Amino acid sequence: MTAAAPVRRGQLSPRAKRKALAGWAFVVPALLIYAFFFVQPFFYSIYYSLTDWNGADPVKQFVGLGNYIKLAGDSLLWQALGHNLIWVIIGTVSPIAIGLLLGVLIWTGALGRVLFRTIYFLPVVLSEVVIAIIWNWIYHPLFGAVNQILRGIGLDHLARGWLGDPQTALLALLMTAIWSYYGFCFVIIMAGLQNVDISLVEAATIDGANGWQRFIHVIVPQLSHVLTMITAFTLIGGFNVFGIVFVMTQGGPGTATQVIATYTYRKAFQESQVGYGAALSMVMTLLSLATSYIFIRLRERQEQ
Amino acid sequence: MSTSLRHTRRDFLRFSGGLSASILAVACVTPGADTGTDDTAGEPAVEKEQILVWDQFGEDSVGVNEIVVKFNEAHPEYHVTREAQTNMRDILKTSLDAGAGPDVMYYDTGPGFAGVLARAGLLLPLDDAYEQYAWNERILPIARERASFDGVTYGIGNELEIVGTFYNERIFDEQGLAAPDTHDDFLAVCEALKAQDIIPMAWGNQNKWPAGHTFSVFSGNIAGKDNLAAAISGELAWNEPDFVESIQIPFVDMVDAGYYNTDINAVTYDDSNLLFYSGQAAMRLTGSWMVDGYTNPDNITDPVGFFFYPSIREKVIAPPAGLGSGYFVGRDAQSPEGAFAYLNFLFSDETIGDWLEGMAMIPPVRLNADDYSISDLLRFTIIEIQQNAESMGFNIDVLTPDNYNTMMFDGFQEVIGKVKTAQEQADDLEAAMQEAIERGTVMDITP
Repeated sequence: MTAAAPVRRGQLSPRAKRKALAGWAFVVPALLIYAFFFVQPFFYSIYYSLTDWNGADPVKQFVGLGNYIKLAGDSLLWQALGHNLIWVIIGTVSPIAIGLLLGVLIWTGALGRVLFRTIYFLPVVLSEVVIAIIWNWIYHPLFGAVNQILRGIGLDHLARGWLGDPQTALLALLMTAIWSYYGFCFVIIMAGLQNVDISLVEAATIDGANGWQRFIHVIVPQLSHVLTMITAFTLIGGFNVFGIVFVMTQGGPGTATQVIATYTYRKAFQESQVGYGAALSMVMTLLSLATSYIFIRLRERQEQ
Repeated sequence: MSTSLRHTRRDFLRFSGGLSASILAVACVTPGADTGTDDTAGEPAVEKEQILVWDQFGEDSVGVNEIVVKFNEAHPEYHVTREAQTNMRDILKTSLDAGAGPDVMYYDTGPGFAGVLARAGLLLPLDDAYEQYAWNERILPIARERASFDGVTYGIGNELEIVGTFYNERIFDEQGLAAPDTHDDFLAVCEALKAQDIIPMAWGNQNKWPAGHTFSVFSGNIAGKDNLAAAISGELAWNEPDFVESIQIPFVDMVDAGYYNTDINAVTYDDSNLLFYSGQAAMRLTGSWMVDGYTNPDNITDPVGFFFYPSIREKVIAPPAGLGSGYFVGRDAQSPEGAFAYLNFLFSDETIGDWLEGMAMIPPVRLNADDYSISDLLRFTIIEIQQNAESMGFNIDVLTPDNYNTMMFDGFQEVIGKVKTAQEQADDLEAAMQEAIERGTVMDITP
């Protein structure tokens, strides 16, 4: 029987080393895939954004910050950015508010909880393209459900080509996005509500707090982590939105629903300006990152 | 417990490794579904030269699939595999650049499409193949001209087409109307139809591109063929008064007069065809690619007639004519000779009937329409193209650079939606053309 060799502080024991190696063995393949499919293209995109390239020519002409300087004077970019901001604000607040409201209503003991949860979550399992096609039919100017209902209740003057009217197209798209996303918010909030301390709610009730006060001052603060996560997701999604817009309006009518992602696609693929498109995608990435970072930092500071 | 866990990990790794090795081994020895070899029993297998073709006809296109089968049967040394691509514009450049593209591709002929590939050196020049197969004797000059860039020919344009007005003959007869001879007559026809609660013209522009054809019709008839060619070539400004009027009449005046269905920007191209099929609309301004649909009794039982949009202020009309797309050969084609042979076969006597009778598409060859069993409407279209080839105008969007096209498509939706005036759109078109001139993507089509 021999005594085990002493392990110096800071040194790993052979057993720990084996465990660490096994850990790396599991992590490295995923890391390589991540590096190959995400990190590498990201750095390539940065490089392309500094070139004037049509996507086919063997020569990528280096233009330095030329594309970024051009971006500043591109009125279509600013218009698209404005649409993204509208999308981020309405498209973030609405599904979370609806999800929260429905979640709390059902959490408080509504009958048929499982049924409602299934119904509300249903849109989340549909792909964006399917959702876009369904809503294209709903908004259809000739025989869509929206116009049929309006005509049916005598509001003919309100019936219109929702996706073809510059005044209504963006809001119509947002309605679709909200419908497709509130179910996700609802389910996550429902999960968060399982951890709400009931005794605090009961204490607030005994102290005379009404329903609204209990909701705002007792329940919502306990959901802060869940709400932070959903909001961060939604903010990023708001800047990256593409599928619904592309399938339903292609950014139209005209440029009334053009967002940064569809504008990037148009420049890079339809107009063969890959360098400029890459610069646009960098702007989109920076906006998503910056907004999410600022939001999460603010939340953390508030909690501290 | 921990021992058991360690064994489990090892077992897992052994199992994974074994499974991977097995999959690799099986993959190495299992033959593919179609090896493209001639494996006739008793004879040594002959390795066929593979030709991968990408086109945009749809996977189930019976006519094109039939041509491929015929080619493979007639050419035992080659094997064509056809793949229908719905997003060719997104993937073709990257695929060719990466050396993973098709050998033969059916792609848009404009300077913003095949022109970009040609200038990047991704396409094979076909001048020698034109000589080798004597295509000049068979194929119409326009099919070569439209697929040539900087003096070099890279392809064969296909799908000859014209744009004009299809009309429901039953409705016209019932209303006592006749095909109009002048623009004023046309407006009178629209008024008469409108008075009977019939939509004069079905138009869906949600897809954006249909407006490009409307603009092609009016600018050809108002500015004339030569001026239009000069504008496409960047030699005449797009904000000249004739072009402003070519925007004002169809996109503002006729919209305001109620000569189209409502919600033009929200109705798709297919839905506007439905309005025409159902008899709710009496006319459609579109291209001859719809002949097949308009003569199909499953779609419409009423007889359909055709006239070119009539003369405006007694000017000579120049109805748009052009080519849909074209066949090109990739620079890295595995078998250039096989690719040329396939192109030759596509427009040979053996396949003309497939294009005409099977797909109602007009191939770019000299032909006698009476030799084929086709609809009167298609026969009429062929004869018109053959007789009036010299006076025909242009489908603008297949000749103009891509940034011009996006400005054209977005801008016309804005004009229809009253976001922009005709003059503003004309100014924007000119600005887009100037940008394209700077980028060197303009095609010179002046004589």
